[in-house]
Amino acid sequence: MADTSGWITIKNLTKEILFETDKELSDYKKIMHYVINGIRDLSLYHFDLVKTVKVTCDDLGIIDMPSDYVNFISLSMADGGLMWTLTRRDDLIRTTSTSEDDESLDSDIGEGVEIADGTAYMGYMTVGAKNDGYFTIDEKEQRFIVRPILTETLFLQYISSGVDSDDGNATTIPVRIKDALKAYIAYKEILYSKDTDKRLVDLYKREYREEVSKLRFLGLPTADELRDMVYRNAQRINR
Amino acid sequence: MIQKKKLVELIKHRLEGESETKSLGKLHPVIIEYNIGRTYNTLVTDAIRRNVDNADTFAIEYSPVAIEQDDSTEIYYSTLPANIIIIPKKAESGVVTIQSMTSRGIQFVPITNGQWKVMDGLEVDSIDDVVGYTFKNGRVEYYNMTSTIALSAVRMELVLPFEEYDDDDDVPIPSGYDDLLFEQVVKKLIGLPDSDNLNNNNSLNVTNRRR
Repeated sequence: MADTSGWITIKNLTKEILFETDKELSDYKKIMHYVINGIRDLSLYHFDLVKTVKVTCDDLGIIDMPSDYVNFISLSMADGGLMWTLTRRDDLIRTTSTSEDDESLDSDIGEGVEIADGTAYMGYMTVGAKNDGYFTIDEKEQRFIVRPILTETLFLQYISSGVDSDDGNATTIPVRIKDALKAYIAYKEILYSKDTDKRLVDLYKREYREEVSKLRFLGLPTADELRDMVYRNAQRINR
Repeated sequence: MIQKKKLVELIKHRLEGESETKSLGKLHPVIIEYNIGRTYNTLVTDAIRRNVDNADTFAIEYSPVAIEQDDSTEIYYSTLPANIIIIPKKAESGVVTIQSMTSRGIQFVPITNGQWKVMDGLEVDSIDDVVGYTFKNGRVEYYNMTSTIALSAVRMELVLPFEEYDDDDDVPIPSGYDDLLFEQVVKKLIGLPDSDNLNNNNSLNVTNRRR
């Protein structure tokens, strides 16, 4: 089994905050609520919690979004051990027809009709690749539409909210975001509290920002990575 | 800890030594007990309101306590094995701890009635499987309880009012509170008027004859 010391469940994090701050057990649900919001805030704005998952495409070419989906990165299929990304086409017909509560595709109005090869990407700066698989994102219906269905199993890369409803309070988060999360909770508690001195809000907000900047520092490229970037782009000039 | 009847005796003895109460004659133990109860319950409530950890000192454990389901509302609940002290604005009131009899992995946390009303549909409600409990309708009601958890009974730690203790039971009084309790009960009883010893139905009674 993998070493999980770098990860902590949100339930244990909530208990850790109660333990550290001498809060009452009756605050447990409220703190858990702040933990969930804090993870989402950090994932959205301050660090990317990128997840790659296998997803299954149904007969109608529909893939349901994961419950923790926040933002899209790529949808791809396997190609010789690598992920081969599908092409996004937002003009793809995404509706379905319903008869007797069953969802189906009506080809008369273009639903599920295969997109003719080579009709796209003929314009300026086209890379010339043959585009076999297309998809679009239906945010409102919380799903992806794939045309044609080249394979049932695809790979989805996305930015996660960090809280997976399937895992519930056993969802794990990296311990490196723990301090930023605690600062977030302290700041929000002061902000929404009726009885505390509001002058403290700025103090706690600064503390949160400081923790976030520490977190960003961890995400910066290392010296080796920067050197590699420079050398890759530099060319020898003969004088 | 002090035995309930000893505490009543001690206060009675103390009162007999006070010049103000000497004249009162016999104070009935029920009157003394009632006044100790009022004072003790107030002291305990204040101590817990200041810091809920103080409740541990006064808590008495009961197990096993069964979990049942209300047929009409489908709410899971437990009937309290004893009366408790009711503490306003404290989610747990007099129910300090609830633990599963079978698994330490199943956790119970107190929630306020207000939280209970708004929690349905919140993300924390769908994510978290910790069981909430609140003192409502004279019983402990559970939020987020499942039929599997309900099969096992629970262990409860309760803070009891003074009246709930039997004469031979030990009453928990932490150090520092004993003097305070004595002082306040005596103060209450000193101001109490003497009992009416007249038999008003007696025709030979002096006051009746004067009419």
